[in-house]
Amino acid sequence: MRDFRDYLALDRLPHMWCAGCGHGIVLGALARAFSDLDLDPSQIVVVTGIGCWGKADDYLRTNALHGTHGRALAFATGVKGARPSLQVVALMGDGDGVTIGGNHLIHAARRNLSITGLMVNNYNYGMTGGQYSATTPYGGLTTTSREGCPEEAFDTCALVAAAGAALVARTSAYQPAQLRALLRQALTTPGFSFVEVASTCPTYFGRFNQAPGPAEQLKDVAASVGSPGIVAKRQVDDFHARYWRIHGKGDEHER
Amino acid sequence: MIKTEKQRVVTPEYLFFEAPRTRSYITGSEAANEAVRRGNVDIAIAYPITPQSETMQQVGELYAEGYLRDYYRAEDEVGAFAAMSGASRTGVRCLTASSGPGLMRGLETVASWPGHRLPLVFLIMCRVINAPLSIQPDNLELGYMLLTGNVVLHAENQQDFFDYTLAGFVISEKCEVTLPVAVAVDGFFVTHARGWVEMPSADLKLPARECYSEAVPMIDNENPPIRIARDAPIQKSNFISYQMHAAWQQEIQAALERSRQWITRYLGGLIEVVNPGAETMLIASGSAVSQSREAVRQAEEAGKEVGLIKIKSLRPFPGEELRQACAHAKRIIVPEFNCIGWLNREVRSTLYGWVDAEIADGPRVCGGITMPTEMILEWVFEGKPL
Repeated sequence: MRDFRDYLALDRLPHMWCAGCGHGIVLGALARAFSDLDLDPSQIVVVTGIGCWGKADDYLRTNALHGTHGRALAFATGVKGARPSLQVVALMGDGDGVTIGGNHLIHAARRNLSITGLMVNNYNYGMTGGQYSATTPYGGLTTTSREGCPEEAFDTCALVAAAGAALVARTSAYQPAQLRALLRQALTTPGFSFVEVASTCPTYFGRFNQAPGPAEQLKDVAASVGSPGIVAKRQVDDFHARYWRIHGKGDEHER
Repeated sequence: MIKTEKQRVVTPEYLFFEAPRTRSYITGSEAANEAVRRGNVDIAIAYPITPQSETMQQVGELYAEGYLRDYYRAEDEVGAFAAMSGASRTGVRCLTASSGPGLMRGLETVASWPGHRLPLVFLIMCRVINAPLSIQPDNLELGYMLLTGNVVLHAENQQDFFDYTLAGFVISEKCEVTLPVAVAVDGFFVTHARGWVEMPSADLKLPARECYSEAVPMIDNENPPIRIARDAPIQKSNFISYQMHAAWQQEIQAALERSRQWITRYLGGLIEVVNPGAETMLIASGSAVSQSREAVRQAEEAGKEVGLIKIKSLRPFPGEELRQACAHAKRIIVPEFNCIGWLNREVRSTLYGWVDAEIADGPRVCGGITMPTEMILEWVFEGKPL
């Protein structure tokens, strides 16, 4: 049985995220979920886009692809399409995942390739200076909405569920044990699984909108989630089951 | 039993140079697909349409016939080209195609392929990209492709499209290259028109991709190059990161240079020269070459010898070859199927200070208009403004 440390590049720690950022908690939960399932690191491909959370693959001892902004799921689709046996995990932020990458997200959910999308939502573009994203709530203060965000935020889980994903779940960085359990479930669900984790950005969104101090901000984001847990679950044949059935390929696909 | 398994694997040298060929009268799109049929392609990924041609629909037919292992349709060109990145990184032979606005939409990813050192073949069926909307042939988008670090080949006709596509797989996967190869062709004039194409038997195919013999290993979490790619040194702002990035980019340019030997081997050189001693030289690529050939013939009938340099490879650009071929020229004319004259700029910057010839600023057509040979001859005989 592998320990969660076997999945982490410990020699690269401490990480580069800001003090009080929730990303480290999410990374720890992901490594523990890998460990719980005793996944072979050589068979895991972590795909990242651009953003603070897009740096997470630096700290993982798995295969990794660092793509372009918003395209993590599109890169992941190519990996999974070419090598269906690999465990493919796409790490995205809210800017990456549902703003610039929104089109890829809904189509990944519709297509139901067995990919796990882990979106850390800190309600703004943290890495690039705290601009508002598609998950910034109405009235939220950011560096590009100094008097409040005029747009409504996406309910990303509802969006992904409506698009047909096999499993959709939501929690926060305040609940790492639950996150670990949800990730275990996501990683073993056939079809597209999506986990949204509300997290803190003490440097920007938290400083502008939430209680002072990262610990209090963690409670704020936990409260914003409402009822954490499974949002939607449906029994689906994943993409390859349907693809091979239609094309009558059976097991001869892998070579 | 799928059909590709019935094909016999032969060396590229045998397939390109020794295998008996038979002639077929087919469209450019069909020629590209015949190359894919013999290319031992693992996976094709495309946005469902390439409005300029039916190439990817025909790839779907090839898949149904069993000549490809997998065929995926993406949600848009960004999705298709990004998925190509992921697929190629897993070590399989990949193909995609696009044109005009689709290419421009996915250019973000196309420009990242060389940095990821991804072998793949990208077919481009050129069409108008600028408003007003048009689906007519115009190769303006190649001006952008020249800046991406991809190997860019420009086919003149159906035969070229077949040969360049098939050779593209081999060149792309050479260890000293390990870069994407874009094979461009002018839409409609070639993709929809029929021409004679000589092809080896469809019972033959290229060897499978040997991904672990390439410059950058495929997905393998113990391999340092992947770690370099994932560490994204450009995200750190210090002298070392700048040096790493610069070295990586210089290596891409060096790899482009190293592709010359393989383009020469499989395409017979980066250029072709007709009437090398002529004082007036036409320099062209793509369909403009065909029109120029006819202009050369008509000029000869009128008693004037005119030369022609066909540029097969836009990247790497045949700089030294052009300088030698134009050393004696007094007048150079560059016919193009686009309004900005990207080839003219390339020619000017290549020959500046090396030749005494006057380089004319045209002729050009755009928006799908063909180039009448009379137009080229006007520039030859009447000396349009330089």
